[in-house]
Amino acid sequence: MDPSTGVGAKVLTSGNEAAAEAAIRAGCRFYAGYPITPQVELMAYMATELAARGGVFVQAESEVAAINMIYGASAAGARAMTSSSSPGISLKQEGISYLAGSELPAVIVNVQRGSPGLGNISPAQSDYYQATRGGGHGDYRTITLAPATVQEMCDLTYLAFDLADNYRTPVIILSDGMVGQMMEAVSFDHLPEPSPPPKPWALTGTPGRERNTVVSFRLTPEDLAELNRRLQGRYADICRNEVLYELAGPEDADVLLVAYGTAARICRQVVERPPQALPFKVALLRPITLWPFPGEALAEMAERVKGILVVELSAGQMVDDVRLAVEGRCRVEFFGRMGGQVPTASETVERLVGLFA
Amino acid sequence: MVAADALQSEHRLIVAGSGGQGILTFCKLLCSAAVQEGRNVTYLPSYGPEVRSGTARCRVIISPETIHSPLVEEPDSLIVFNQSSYDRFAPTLRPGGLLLVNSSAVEAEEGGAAKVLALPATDLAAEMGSVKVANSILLGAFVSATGVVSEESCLDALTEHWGRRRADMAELNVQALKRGAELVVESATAPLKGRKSV
Repeated sequence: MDPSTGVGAKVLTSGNEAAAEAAIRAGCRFYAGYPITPQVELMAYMATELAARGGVFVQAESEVAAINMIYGASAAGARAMTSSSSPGISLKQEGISYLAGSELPAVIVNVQRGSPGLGNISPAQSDYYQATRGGGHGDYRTITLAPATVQEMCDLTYLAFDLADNYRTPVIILSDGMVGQMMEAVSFDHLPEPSPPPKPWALTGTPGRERNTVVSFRLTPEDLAELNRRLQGRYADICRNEVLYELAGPEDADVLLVAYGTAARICRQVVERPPQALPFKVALLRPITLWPFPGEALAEMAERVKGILVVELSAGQMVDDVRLAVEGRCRVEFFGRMGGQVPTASETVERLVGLFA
Repeated sequence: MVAADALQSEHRLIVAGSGGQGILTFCKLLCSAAVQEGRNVTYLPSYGPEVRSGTARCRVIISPETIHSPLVEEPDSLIVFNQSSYDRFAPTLRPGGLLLVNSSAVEAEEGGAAKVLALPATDLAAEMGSVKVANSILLGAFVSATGVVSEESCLDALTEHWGRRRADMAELNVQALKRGAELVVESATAPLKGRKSV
């Protein structure tokens, strides 16, 4: 997109570029990354825009270097971001664990591609476990936001910076090759001026105060246990305060679809304008935060429906969280596609009918 | 030729060819024009890792409604720039849909349920001075044949796009778009020059 024409009107923009623009508008002043499809438009946008608008862009020598540069920038108090796609995010896991252990805010965008290994450049959702379980070593979690539209690539990226600062934690935007590369009409003008909280812990030089240290190691078990207790307390707050989800379709639905991101768009089509008529009523619960997971809302829905179909671009990962939330209140089935394939609305209808008619 | 109901209804298309033929630019300009007219769009590209000659495809939906699935299972229009794209996607076209082919590179079969428009876009573009503007010829033809967006918004999008990237290519692209549109108007009364099949 061209930011010069982005005032007062919707602009045609890709998800990757929308995330980059939203980051700059959220006050991100440091970006480091290493190129990989299908997220490279985000990095390219930062390369031309961030420096021009008062920030620092670094094309790092590797993903590992990039995440550690984010650590440094965040420790110095800057709003900082990196992005990559699945294999690159695996490389960043050590750094993300260090960010969590050092209580440092950061925003990490994963535009997921087909996996495992090098996989391919098509959309997938097979990094759900990695994003929602911490990903690296240690007892930590990362807030995980799942955009389903290009507008949400913008809005959730902006939100991610606030959440990261408020809870002093890394936040993952779990996107995929479809939402990242797709273009839609997007508005940016509703985003407020950023107002990051004060960061008295940041390494800003020491005139007039005790020196700060930002480390993730503690020499004694007691001290490390104390750090862990603080993190867990913060995670409990996040679970209480930050759950986001969207419901669509009739309140008296017989079957509930549960899907996020790209898969949720296919499911929303099934709910709003199905390609073939359905013999029963279908609704959709779309988690927007994957962690914290909207388990309570789901448990409540499970009391009212005959069954749940979880749709993912994976072998079935979020379906585990659905089963944990539902606790046997209703039948939970799974429909997935792997390797970069995206199920169509017709295929989803076929599966629904096959399972629940 | 531009039907008022074209603005009220959803239009789903697939544009396909090989990398370097301007498939994605075709779709980007079409979507920019539609956004300018206040419509919702989804532009879903798919391409190989090659810079040129790999497959390049784009699925586009233009709608007055919110668009959920951006996948296009049965396109209303199919625009094909090369033979392999024709072979692959022609069977998916909605009965009665529009098949627009670059007949410089595609042998389309006779008959079938589709409305076929064949333009030797690559040859025409070469005559105009650059094969690179074949996509603008087909874009002009598509817009003229369907009225999905107005030719004016398309020209605006095209002028803005090329003005920012390659100002020296803007005028030739404008001429190419107009040429494609004219050929469709002419074809309503006379067979198209160089048309291989209808």
